[in-house]
Amino acid sequence: MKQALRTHMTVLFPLLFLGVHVGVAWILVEVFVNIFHGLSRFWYILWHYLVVGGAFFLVFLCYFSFFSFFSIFSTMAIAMVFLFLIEVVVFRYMYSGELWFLNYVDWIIPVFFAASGVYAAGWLIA
Amino acid sequence: MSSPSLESQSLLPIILASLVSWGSVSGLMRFLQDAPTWVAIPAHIFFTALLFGIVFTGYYQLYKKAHPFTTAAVAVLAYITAEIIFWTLAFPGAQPYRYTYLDWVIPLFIATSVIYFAGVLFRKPKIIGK
Repeated sequence: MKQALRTHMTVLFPLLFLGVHVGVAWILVEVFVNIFHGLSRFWYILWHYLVVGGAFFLVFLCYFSFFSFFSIFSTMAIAMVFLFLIEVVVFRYMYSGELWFLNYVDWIIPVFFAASGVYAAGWLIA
Repeated sequence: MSSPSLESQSLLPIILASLVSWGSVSGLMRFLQDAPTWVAIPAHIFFTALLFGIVFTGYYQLYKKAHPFTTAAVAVLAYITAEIIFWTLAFPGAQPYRYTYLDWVIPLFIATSVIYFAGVLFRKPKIIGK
């Protein structure tokens, strides 16, 4: 029983820890979105990309500096799963406004930058 | 532009279209398994753009009111699920490409973009400026 619990914890803890890092990066991006949504469309899109890429890069630079639970690719893949989970939970169950941002420019490209930021951080540290 | 909605769209045709495209790309890439990286990676990107483009252009001809974002999201989820089932659980280590940024992340982004823009171009009514 103790052994099974320990095995579960050795898998669960790294996963949850990675998820916390994704949560921190996501909150940083949301802070930007909430404060700067009044910018002109051009500057909003530009800064959105920079903030998403930068936030995920910096948070995962810290992560990869201290931890190496998974390979760089696996870390990026798991991070993206957590990102999708956060987005689904928040925008499906906690948000009641228009989902205007679910388009190529405001969602698909930023997710690509987030994945690239995580991968770049791992690559740099490795 | 209307907000994407899962309720208005049948998921099965999207999943089938995604699996057909993904399976075709994987099949073609098996022929290039021993090719050098500078051949295999551009070929992977090219086949991904071509096959996802053809299949999803056909999909949007049949389902003219399908929403591009919903279609892209469901197709990508099916793509990733197929990757996990085939190359991680069923045949580990047998994937015809490597799990790296250039050989996996870029082709996935290309596939997502092609699925989305096939929808922007071919759905009716058209979505302009997105």
